[in-house]
Parts: sequence; C-alpha cells; structure tokens
Amino acid sequence: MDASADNGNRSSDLVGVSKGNYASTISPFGEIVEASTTYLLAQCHRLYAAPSLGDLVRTEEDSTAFSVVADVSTKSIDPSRRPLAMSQGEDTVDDIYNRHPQISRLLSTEISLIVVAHKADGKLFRYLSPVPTKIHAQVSICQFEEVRELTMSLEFLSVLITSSVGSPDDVVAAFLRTASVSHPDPKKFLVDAGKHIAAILAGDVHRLNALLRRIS
Amino acid sequence: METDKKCEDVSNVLGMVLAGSLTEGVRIKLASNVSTEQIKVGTFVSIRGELMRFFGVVTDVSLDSMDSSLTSIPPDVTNPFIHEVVSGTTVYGTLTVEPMLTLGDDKDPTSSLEGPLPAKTVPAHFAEVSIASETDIEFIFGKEDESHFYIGTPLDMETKLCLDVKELVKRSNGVFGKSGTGKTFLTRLLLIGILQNSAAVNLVFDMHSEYGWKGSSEDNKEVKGLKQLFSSKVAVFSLDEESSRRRGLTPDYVAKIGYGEIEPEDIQLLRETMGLSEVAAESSYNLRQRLGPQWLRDFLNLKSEQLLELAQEISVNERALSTLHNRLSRLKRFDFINESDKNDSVKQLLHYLERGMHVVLEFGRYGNSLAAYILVANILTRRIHDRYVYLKDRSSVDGIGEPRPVVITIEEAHKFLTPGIAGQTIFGSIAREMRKYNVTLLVVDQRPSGIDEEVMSQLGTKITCLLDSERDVNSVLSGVSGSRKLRSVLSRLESKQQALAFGDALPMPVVIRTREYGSSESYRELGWKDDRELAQQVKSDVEDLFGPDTS
Amino acid sequence: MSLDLNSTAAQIESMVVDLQARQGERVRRVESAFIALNEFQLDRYLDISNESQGGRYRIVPEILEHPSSVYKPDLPPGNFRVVSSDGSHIEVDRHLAVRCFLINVGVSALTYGDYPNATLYSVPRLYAAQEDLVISEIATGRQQSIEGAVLGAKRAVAEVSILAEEASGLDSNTPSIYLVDGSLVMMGLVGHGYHDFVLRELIEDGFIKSMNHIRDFSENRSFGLASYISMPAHSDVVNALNVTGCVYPIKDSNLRCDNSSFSTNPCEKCISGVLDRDIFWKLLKPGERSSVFGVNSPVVENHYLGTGITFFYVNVGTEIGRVEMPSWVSDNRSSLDLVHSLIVDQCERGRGYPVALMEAHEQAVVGVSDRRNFVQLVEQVLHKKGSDVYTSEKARSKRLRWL
Repeated sequence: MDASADNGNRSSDLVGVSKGNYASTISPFGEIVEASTTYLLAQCHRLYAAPSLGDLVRTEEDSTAFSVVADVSTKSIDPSRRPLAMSQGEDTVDDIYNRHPQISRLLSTEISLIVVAHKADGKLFRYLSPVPTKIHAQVSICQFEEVRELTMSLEFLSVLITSSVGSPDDVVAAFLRTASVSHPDPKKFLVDAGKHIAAILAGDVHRLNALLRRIS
Repeated sequence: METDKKCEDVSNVLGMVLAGSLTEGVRIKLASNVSTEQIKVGTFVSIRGELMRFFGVVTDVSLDSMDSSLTSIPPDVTNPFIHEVVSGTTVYGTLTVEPMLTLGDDKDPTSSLEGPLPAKTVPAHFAEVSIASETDIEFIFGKEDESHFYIGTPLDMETKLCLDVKELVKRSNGVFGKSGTGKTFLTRLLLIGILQNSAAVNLVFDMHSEYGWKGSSEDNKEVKGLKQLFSSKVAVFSLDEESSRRRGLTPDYVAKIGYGEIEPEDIQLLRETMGLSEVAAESSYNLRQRLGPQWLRDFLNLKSEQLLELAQEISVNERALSTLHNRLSRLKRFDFINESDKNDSVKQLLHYLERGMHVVLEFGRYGNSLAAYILVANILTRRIHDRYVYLKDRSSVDGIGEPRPVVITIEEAHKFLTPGIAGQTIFGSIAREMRKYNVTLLVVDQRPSGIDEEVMSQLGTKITCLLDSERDVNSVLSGVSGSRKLRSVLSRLESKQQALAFGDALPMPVVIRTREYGSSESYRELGWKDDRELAQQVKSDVEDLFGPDTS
Repeated sequence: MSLDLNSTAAQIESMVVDLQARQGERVRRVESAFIALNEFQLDRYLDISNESQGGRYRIVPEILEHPSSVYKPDLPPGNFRVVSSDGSHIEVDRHLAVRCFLINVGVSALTYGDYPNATLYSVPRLYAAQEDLVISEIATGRQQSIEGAVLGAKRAVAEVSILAEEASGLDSNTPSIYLVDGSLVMMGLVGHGYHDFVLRELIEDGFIKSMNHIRDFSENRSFGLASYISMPAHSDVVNALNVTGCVYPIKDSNLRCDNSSFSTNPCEKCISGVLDRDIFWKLLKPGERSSVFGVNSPVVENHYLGTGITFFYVNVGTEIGRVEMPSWVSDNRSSLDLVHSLIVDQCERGRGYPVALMEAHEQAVVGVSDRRNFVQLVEQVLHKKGSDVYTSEKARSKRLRWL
C-alpha cells in the first residue's frame, strides 16, 4: 500500500521505535505467533508499528533468540476478507483510516524473522538455538550494544543470504547498513562484511554485484 | 599493549599458504588488504609453519579469481565500495614463493641455534606468510662484523644484508651483469669486503684503472679507489706510469715484463684476440723449443728472409710462421715489455702479497688492448700460481705457515676461460682446483655464456646484475636449484644497483640493492677517515702510547 | 451423473419468457401502488382500520402521517459512535454426544470524528447446564427446550443485552446509536403455540428488559436504538394501500387479491404482490427516509410492555432498507433524526450496508472449521473428565473424510 510509510511512521512514534537506528527503547513491539528453530513470525502490537527491514530483534524467554527482520507484511487478519480500495477523490490515507476506524482492527502487521543467533547463560552463540522460541514470546528491537556485539563476527551471514524469506539481498544489505552504525568504523565494517559475502557468493557475480550495490 | 602488537603483526601479514610443492614453490594467497602491486619478485618472506619457520623468496606474482566467469563478467568496480570488497576475496593476488631455508622451531630456542638449513619440505596449509623482518635477515645472513660484510639491502627493506666473507674467499667467485649495471661497483665492494676482513689478499688486474686510485660512477662522478680509502693496505702497480701520474697517483711499482717471461701458452691464449690460426699458435711451441727462453725476443728480431729458414728448420708452415711473426710484432708496441731478463715485477708482486698488501695492477692506456690485458694477467697469474704451489707444497712438508690466500680479480674473464682453452689455461686450473693452493679467482664478466661451463659450476658465490641474453642467464644459473624461479627474478632486476646473489657466501639466493658507494658518508662507513679525523686519530694514538702532550 | 444441460437449457428459456411476462405485470402493479401511495387518503384509512379492529387488518401498520412524506437526513454530528451486535449460534446437534449449544455475539463499537477508534470483539457463551438448555416455569414445572425458533429468540435477546452492557459502559456524551440486525418484532415466536411463560421469559424478561435498560440510560443523551433490515420483504404499507384502494369488497378481497402471483390479473388496479421497498424505491431519493409507521402486532401488544415498535424505510443509495425502532426512539425527533442520519452515513461508509453491523457480523460468524474445532474441544474436555463420548457413526463419517 502506497501509504504504509506514512502510517508506519505515525504508528512507530507511538511505540518509540526510531527507524534505522537501534534506539534505547526495549519495549516489545510484537509477539511471536509462529515459530520454528529457523524462522519466526511476529505480530505487531500495533498496526504498522514494525521495525525496519534488516533490524536485529530479540525474543526474551529462557534464552534470548536473535533474529533479523526479513519481511514485513500487513494484511487482513481474516484470510477470507480482503481489503478493497476505498479512497474517494483526493482522500489521503489518513482520511480513509479516520473514516473507517475498524480497518486498523481488521489488519495486522506481521514480521518474518530469520533466526541467526541466541544467547544462553549470558553467552552469545552465533548459530541457532536447539529449541525454538515459544509462541507469544515478546519481541523487541535490539539495543546498540547488542547489535555491535553480535556483528563483531559475521559467520551467520550465510543464513541470511541463503534464506528464502522476503528478498534476502535487501535484508542482508539493510541489516549491514543498520549494524554498521554501531561500529566505530562503519566503512570498515561494511567492507569486511562485503568480503564475507563475496566469499559466500563466489560464483555468482551478478548477485554479488547487486547485493554490494545495495550496501554501498 | 597486546592489541598494538597484534595490529603490527597483522599489517605485516601478506597472506597464507594454499598450495605448492618444493620443486614448484608454494602458492600464497595474498590477504585482502595487500595489493599485488606492493609485492615485488625477489622480496624476502618468512613463513610461519606448524613446526618451523621457513624463509623464501617471491619468485612470481599472479592474479587469480574464485570464479572463472569473472573474467567475462567483471564485478562493478566503478563503485569504489564494490571494488574494495571484491579485491582480495572474489579476485585476489597470489605469490609463488620458493622456500629456501628452515629455521627450526622458534618456540624452542636451541633448535634455531643451529642456524638456517636448506628447506627440504614446504610449510603446511594456511601457514601465515609475512615480509621478513630485520631480525630475520640478520639471523640468516649474519650481523655485520669482521667476517660478515655488508653488501647491500634486501629489496624494499633497510636491513643490512651481509656476505660471509670467510666462505666467499674459500672458492672462486663471479660477478656478472651486462655493461652499465654496476658490476664494477659490486666488485669494488667485494674487494673492500675481502680487504677489511683480512681473510685474503687481493690481486686486481684493473683493466680500466677503476679500482686502484679512483674510478667513476655511471654519472661520471669520481669515486675513490682502494688506495685512497686504505692507503696503508693497498699497493698500486702500474703498467703505464705516465697515465697513473696523470691521474694523480704515484704507483708503488711500475711493472715490466721481459720477453723471456712470455711462454707459448700465453700465445695460445691470445689466439683469438690476435687472430692467429691454430697452426700459427701451435708453432710458438716449436719456436720455444728451438730458440730457448728468449724465443720471443729472438723470433721478433728475425728478418723476414730468416723466417723462411727457420720455418724449414722447425718444419712449420712458412706462411703461418710469417703470420705469427707479423702479429706478435704488435707486442713490441707494449712498452712494459722489455728485453731485460732481470724484471722483478713478479717478485715484487709476491712480496707485497705475502706482506698482506692488496695489489691493484693498473693497465693505464693498455687497458684498451685486450691482448695486453690477457698477456699480463696470464703471465703474472701463472707465476704467482707456480709460487703458491711451491709455497703450499713446502708448507705441508716443512710445517711452516701456508701462504696467505690470494684472490685474483680478472675482468673480461671469458677471454681467459672460453670452453676451448679453459682446460689449458692457468685460470681454468685455478677455478677448478678451488683453493687447494690458496689462489682463487674473482671473475668479472658481462658475458658469462662465454665462460666454460665447468668453470662456472665451480664458482662458489655468484652475484649477478641484469644480464643481456638468455644464454647468459642460463649459464649463470646452471646447476643451481630452483633456477627456473631465480630466472624470473633475475630477468626482472632493475638495471642499476640491483643484483641477485647466491652461493656459498649466502645461505640462500637473495636480491640485493647494492650498498651505496661514492659519498663521503659511504666511505666513512667503510672505515675511511679524512685528514682531520686521521690527525685526530694519530694524536689519540700518540697519547695512548706516550700520555697527553704536556709541553 | 452429470446434468443434462440440453434439456435444462430449454426449461430455462421458457422460464425467462414467463419471467418477462410477469415482470411486465409487476412493473404495472408497482406503478399502480405508487399512484395509490400518493393518492392515499389517511382519514379513510384510519376509519377503515378502526372499523376493523380485531379483524383481519390487524397486520396493517399504524399510519400517523401521510405515507408519501419524505425526510432528508441531517448531517451526522462531528463526533459520534455506532455500536452494533450480531449473533450466531451452534445449534444443538443431535449427533453430538452431549446436548449443548453456543451463542457467539459479535460486537463492533466504532467511533468517528476527531478521535476515530474501533473496538471489535465477540462474546461466546456455551449453554450446557440443564437449566441453560430449557426454559421452565417453576410454578407448574413445565419446560420448553431451547431449539429452533426459541434458540433464535434467545440469540436476539443476547444481542440486545450485550448492547445494554455496552451502553452502560459508555461514559461520554458522544451521540451514539445502537444497531442490531433484523427485526425488533419477535415474529418467530408467534403462532407456534409456545406457552406464555416462554414468551415472558424471552421477551418481557429478556428482550424488552434490555431495551428498557438502554432507554433508561439514553435519557438526556443524544442517543438511538434501532434495527436494520436489508432487502426487507415486508408489504405493510402496500397492505395499507390495498385497504383503501382495492375494488373488491373488503370481505371478499381475500379471495382475489391475497396472492402475490403476477400471472393473474384480478382487477385493473390490483397491487397485490408489490413490496413496500418497491414503492419507496420510487419515492425516496438517496439518503431520504419515509415517514414513521407503527407495527401492529399481537406480540408487541401483548408482550412488549407498552413499548411500541415503529419503522421507516430509507434509501441508502443502493437499496431501500427498513429501520425499526422502539417507539421511545421515534417519539423523540432528535433521536429519530440521529438514527436516520447515522444509518445513511453507515451505509455510505459500508457500500450500502451499515459498517458496524457488518463488522459485528464478522465477529459473530462461526466458520465451519471453528464449528468443528468447537465440537472437538467439547469432546476432548468431556473425555478428560472421564465421560465416554458417544457420537453417531454419521457424525464421525462427516468428520473423517476418507477415500
């Protein structure tokens, strides 16, 4: 929907998620509704109040699972009801949502998450937890320090690159761009990460080119 | 701080070993932060294996990529970020390194006490490769001291690289390179090295008068010769007193050679230079037999009608004898040849050498005559060799001291050592018999392919600058292990001041940038003192002996 | 065996011919009815209907003003609220091992204006206890099991009672209307011989009690309660026109005109078979409503405790809808106008149907899979509690689809 950005901003203000920047907020933005060891689906507490593509998020329960936002979608909660175009004349999206307040109750924003790491007993492991996250676990955006700690080493990048969720190249690029800010030398971080990717994508120059262009 | 140390290590790491063999050299993938443009062939590297450290020389640099399709679809390198990322990962540089030495376990200090050993294996996979450090170089080539002479620096390093002079003088050695590449400078340095080390005395047949008093650099600047730097240890003999004096030098001795000292073998050696036929050269033996010791003088004094008679008498082709007479008459133009049989040049020479004085024989204007050079060098060397053979034999019988080893430096060496005659000439004998009689050669030549193969193989240490032809390269490298890789190094030497050195005096082949020579600073480093310093030195010596002057 | 389309096609063709013929007659009758509406003589109607009190005209509506009156809607207030409920049920299933039923009431509360908001929820309630499954009269011990029309009525009661709860939770003065789906007249209970105690329980103690609750709450507020019927098949007003317009004597008209077939043509001016919505579709422009009529029904008279039910028709743009209200709403002109304007507004937002009702319905609907899950859940719980579960083979075969 053309207006998602506009609405997304409005919604995110409500939960204090500042875009593209791992803010100090730790309040959960959503809840896990589907879980496997590799993949999580979270539903946002508020419509459009989703983190950005590539953001690192954490789920908190016995052990913390770290995952990367790979896809954000907003759709009808009831699969048998689909939204119909509603604008009349020069309505803005806000006009439509105001005129039909029920719409925001009938839609939900869902976030597909690719699990990349976990933390158990205070130790960080850059691979999958043996046990999947529980349904209804709260999900929140990672803090700056956590992002830096996790991205000190990037062996989990191949998980993101080979994933089939969303558009993996955009996810990887967004993730790295966002994470780079948490490092003292973002440029160097990106170059190192790029080299990592180049090794993984050896033999696929087209994709490597496309991915690197997104990062630069 | 530990992190600092780590950073430093990282910055020196060139890459890691990925493949290779002892015969082909090991292949090294360059680390992504190292560009191929930073590494030159000949660079000296250290490889940290699992059990020992290896030292080697870069013999090849190449570009490689992970993906063969990359050459047809290159990555988007117009984007600087992509360029930076792709370099060293998708595309990367590789080095071929010839492992030369192993150092034992560097965690076990006793193992490295034995010193470097020739590499008999290759480092394991992924061994870390770095540019050799100064300590590495020092450890391998030795620190500059009385037996280690600082000859130059490794490529791209400021470390002093030393030759083991004691090893050097044990055998004959060679300095090669096409003209203008710095052979003379190198030779001069080697002479100084030998001189300083006192391991042997030099006898230099100084064709172009470059070593004795002064020489000239490529840009025609005057540089000091041995006599200027070490006047108390060097004597200059001259064949051309006039020329010596003109250049501001009073020779210690003006050498003369009597006709009686010229032997038929000498004529044999001059065959090519003087354009003599084989028959003509051979006939000199008949003449010697017929005319006695003064055969040449007598022969040259004969009138042409007398020649016919003589020819019949000694049954030699008349025309050949006539040609011989004709050609040898040129020797009359050499003023240093006289009819006296009382010349004591050889005696003087030996006298100086036995006292430990280094002798430079300047040819002066005769330097332009190859015949004069060959003749004189041959005659003198033969006489010295005879004397040394006698001294050496006597010492083993009587138990007195051996004669002081002498290193004879000859230029245009291929004239003395061509394959056809090397077996017969005195130089060939010296080269082959090694230091049996304490006489060795320092062969200086721009055309090593003209030198007998056997002689070449007997040279203990070879230092070669850039060479002209493939044949010369082959000849210098024949019989050397890893010659194929050394060849690529050799062919890429810069045309000045760079040389590939290998052989007994070095634990491994190495490319050196020749030590600077010509500035007063460089003279001082070599131990030269200017007048003021000298006066100071004398004064302090006097004080040491007699106490401070109180008057 | 597949359908013989050749034979069917021929039949469809003759059907269309028949339909076209009837359509022509229908158009003519609607035209007549529309004329009759405009020529309607209110005085005469009042006379005749008074005359026949207790007679067969009891089903004609109470007409207070001329039926051709037309009212334009007010603009909706700046801030307002529409609350709706709708229910669905899972009927007592005789194949189910236990007797029980579930009523699921969906609620939508939509706030418009400066602070738009929406609350959507559903309240399911399971009736399984013995006293839940029957209506009993304590004095006599008589019982009526809740199924069929009684269950439908029970559901209607649940719908209104939840609105009453919603209304009592309201603390602002925002103008609000409360909407239910369908009729406010519980006609379903009439004529099936249900005992009085059943009607008392469902209507007086249930439906009307909740409505009155809302009424009490609505005092001094800008407030309305109504039900909305889409595509109403009523012919109340047409019947009233017939009363004054039929050429046949009243007593005999039954014989000639009491059928909706358009294939016969009893008399030139006959308007039988025409629906109220047909004539109001001609009368009302989009947004406009008709005058208010009163429902004449014994159920209302006997059991609604004095509350009358009134109705009007409204053109919502795509159709004519019928809006029914308790009389205390229609008696208050501002409440009446509020209901009118907000229903028009709701239908505008909802593409011809009130949004709030649609959303309440969506909340209430129990899908096929949910129905199955509900049954399984009941069985699981029973099983855990140790009761054996008997289900008929037929029910089992329905659940286990096999090849």
